[in-house]
Amino acid sequence: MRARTIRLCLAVVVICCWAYAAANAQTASGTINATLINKSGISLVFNSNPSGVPLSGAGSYAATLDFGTVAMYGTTAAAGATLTRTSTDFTLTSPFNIRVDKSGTTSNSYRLQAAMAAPAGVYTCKVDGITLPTTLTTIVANDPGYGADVPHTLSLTIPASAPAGALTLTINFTATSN
Amino acid sequence: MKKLTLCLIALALLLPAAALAQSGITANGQLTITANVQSSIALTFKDGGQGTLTVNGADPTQATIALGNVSGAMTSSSTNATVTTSGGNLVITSPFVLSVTGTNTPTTDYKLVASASAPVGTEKIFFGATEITTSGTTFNTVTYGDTTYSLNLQVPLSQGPGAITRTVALTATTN
Repeated sequence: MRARTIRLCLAVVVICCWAYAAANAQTASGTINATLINKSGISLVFNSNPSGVPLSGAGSYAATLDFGTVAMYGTTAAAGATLTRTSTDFTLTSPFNIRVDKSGTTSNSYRLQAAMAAPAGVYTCKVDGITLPTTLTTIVANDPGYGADVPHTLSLTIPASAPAGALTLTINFTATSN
Repeated sequence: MKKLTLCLIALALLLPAAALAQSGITANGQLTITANVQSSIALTFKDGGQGTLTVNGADPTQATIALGNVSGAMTSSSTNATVTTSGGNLVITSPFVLSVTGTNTPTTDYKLVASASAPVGTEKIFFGATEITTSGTTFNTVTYGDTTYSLNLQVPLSQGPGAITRTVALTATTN
């Protein structure tokens, strides 16, 4: 009787050990916690205006508008640009588009500001008729045009006395949600 | 306890709304403008004070000087040009102004080449004392701005009567 009890106990222990091993050898578990913080944000990109000079880098926040080879006399402006003259300078003008998108905010308008990245020297850059200094200047105080191309006009005035050669100017734009 | 719970629930509801209405979020972009500025030069005509020059339409780069009807017995033509006789020639004179502007160039002067069309007879055209030939006469250094020239048409007295039309093509090039 005693030996039978011992065998029974041993059998139970073996079964338990096997069951334990089977249950633990092939199981792995883990936990991952994903946290999403939906923050408010707006984005600004430049797009070509169908009536203006095509932008390189259109659709991005860093684009280039190339007026090409220009002269006060004897040349025609690049496609999409217009050339006007006074007795002392000439001006190249082209429309371009800015698109501002929003997410996670109920703002229904934005303020658009612009500034020259560096002093323009003898040249004059204007956006929508506003001369740009090197400090941010408001172009539009309350633009409701989120999510759509908003046309603006860029003009570059070159004095007749300016030296010939390559010209590069950079304008920084900032859109701020109202 | 119940009021405190309600306040907490209300606060919890308001916080996301306040976050959504947040203003002052900014986005930046950079637009680069490029151009290649080249020197250029423009040439226009103006009347020299006798009223003989007429700019052709809206294009000031083309003009006509009408010297009018002349004969050896006149001292001025029907259009107020000066008429003299000299060395067997009838000399009809009228001033005109050539206005040349140079832009985006460090130079202060230009080269002018004037070429006359073929003569009707044996008449000659002069700018001042310099004959303008059919092969081209060069004025090497002319300062930008207005320059007054005296256009002289010298017609030999031996040349028969008739209309004379001559064209002078002018080309200005920056020095």
